[in-house]
Amino acid sequence: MRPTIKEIVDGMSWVLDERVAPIIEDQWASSYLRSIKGLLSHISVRSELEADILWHDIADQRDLLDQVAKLHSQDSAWQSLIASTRDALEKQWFNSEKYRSVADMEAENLRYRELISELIVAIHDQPAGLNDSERNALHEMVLKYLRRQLARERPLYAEAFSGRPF
Amino acid sequence: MQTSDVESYLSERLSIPVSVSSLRQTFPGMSRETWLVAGTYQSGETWELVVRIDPPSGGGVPIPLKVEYEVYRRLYESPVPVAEVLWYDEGIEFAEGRAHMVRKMVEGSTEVPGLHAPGPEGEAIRERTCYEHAEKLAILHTLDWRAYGFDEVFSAPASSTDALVNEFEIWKSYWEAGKTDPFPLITEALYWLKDHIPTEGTRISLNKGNNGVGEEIWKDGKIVAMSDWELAGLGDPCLDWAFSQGMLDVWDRDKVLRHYEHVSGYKIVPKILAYCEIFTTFKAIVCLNTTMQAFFDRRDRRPVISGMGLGTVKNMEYMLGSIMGMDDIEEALEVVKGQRTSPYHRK
Repeated sequence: MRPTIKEIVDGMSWVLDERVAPIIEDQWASSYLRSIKGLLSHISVRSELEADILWHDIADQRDLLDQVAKLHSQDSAWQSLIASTRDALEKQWFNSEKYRSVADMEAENLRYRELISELIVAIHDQPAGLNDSERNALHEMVLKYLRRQLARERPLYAEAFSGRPF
Repeated sequence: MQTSDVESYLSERLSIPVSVSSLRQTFPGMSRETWLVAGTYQSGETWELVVRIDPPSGGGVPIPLKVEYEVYRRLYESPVPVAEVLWYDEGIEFAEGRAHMVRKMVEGSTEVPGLHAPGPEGEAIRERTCYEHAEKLAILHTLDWRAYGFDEVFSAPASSTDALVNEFEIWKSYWEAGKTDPFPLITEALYWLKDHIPTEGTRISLNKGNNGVGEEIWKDGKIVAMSDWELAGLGDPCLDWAFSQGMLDVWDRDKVLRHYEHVSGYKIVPKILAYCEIFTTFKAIVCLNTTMQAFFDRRDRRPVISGMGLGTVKNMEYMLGSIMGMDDIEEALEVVKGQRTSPYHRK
């Protein structure tokens, strides 16, 4: 559909910059405008990239969590995490006969974020649950995943939210 | 706030009829609202007060306004310059029940005229301003905080070696209680921050939190009142230098720190300062992101809440992500500094 969300939002942003900002004298109103400008810039990029970022992140998360699901541990905290991970990976997160919405992907992605956060805690706080080489290798995989995800998300935030924040 | 509401509230509270002639919210002030109120008594005598109120979100910092009030109250009799605080209240009709406190006005400005002026004249102003700021921090940091009862207000570190351990645990608990997302990267970053906490050479002082130009009341080149104690606490004094809103980059950083060392008698350990500067990034993440709960439940729908709670936090998360795996704290700080875009920090 034309104009796209990005085109519409960029037009709104332009008019606020060119026609509204110059005539606003109130400091608080100018501040709100700066915040809105950052958010519009974010929406502009997000409207085109969010689905792709989520899709790739989910695939990346599943690769990492697959390694967790394969683990065996005598430690109860690790056993619980491994069981939760297997459940999450086996869950049917979407109806394959329907378009997969961003909201659906976000729900799956959020659950995996929770599990990866729990995984990080387990690696640091329950080191005895895995042998050293297993744990170190897993930690290295986590760090590499986190760096990839930071790089993937970067376009959503870097420019939109730089400069004066309010 | 409406003038009539303030007028009737102050009249009731002061037990004397007052009229309000001016009411203005200061700018900026994202974490708490500060309102300057001026008026007259029936006798014609004029008065000026400052009303500080939690925003609808409950505050942009995880420390209650009541704590800030207690800091003011205890410091008023100390060598640290602060305004006289009059009362604190919450849960009443005024300001929709939001927590608020009222203090006397101190004449001055949060800005220093000529601070950014070019040439030798500007340099002289910058030097004087930085030295004045350092001297006031030295007064604060050498205060006998136990004698003024600050161990009743804040969780005190068990010993000086725990000065930053305590700080870490406090802010980690705020994060765990209020974060809006699992943030796996920050989960990992917290282990980095914990593993690198300096314990040698640290000391305990009363700290202001965010401080510097824009935060204090200045008059004729002097700080006449240290203002907005929303992030005060007990910890290593480097925490204040790390949160001094760019003051270390206004003039000659080394000379300013040497002056502070001379006045306070404290040695600034570069590694501790570097750690505190990195840790401040985490503290900012905590403040900005946990406030976003109020955006989600519609208590505070201002775009700045979602913008900073999401975007600024993500940019800061990226900074922390960039130093994972690094072992040298001072090198890590350089990496973080290279990514800052806030106007507080000169590149």
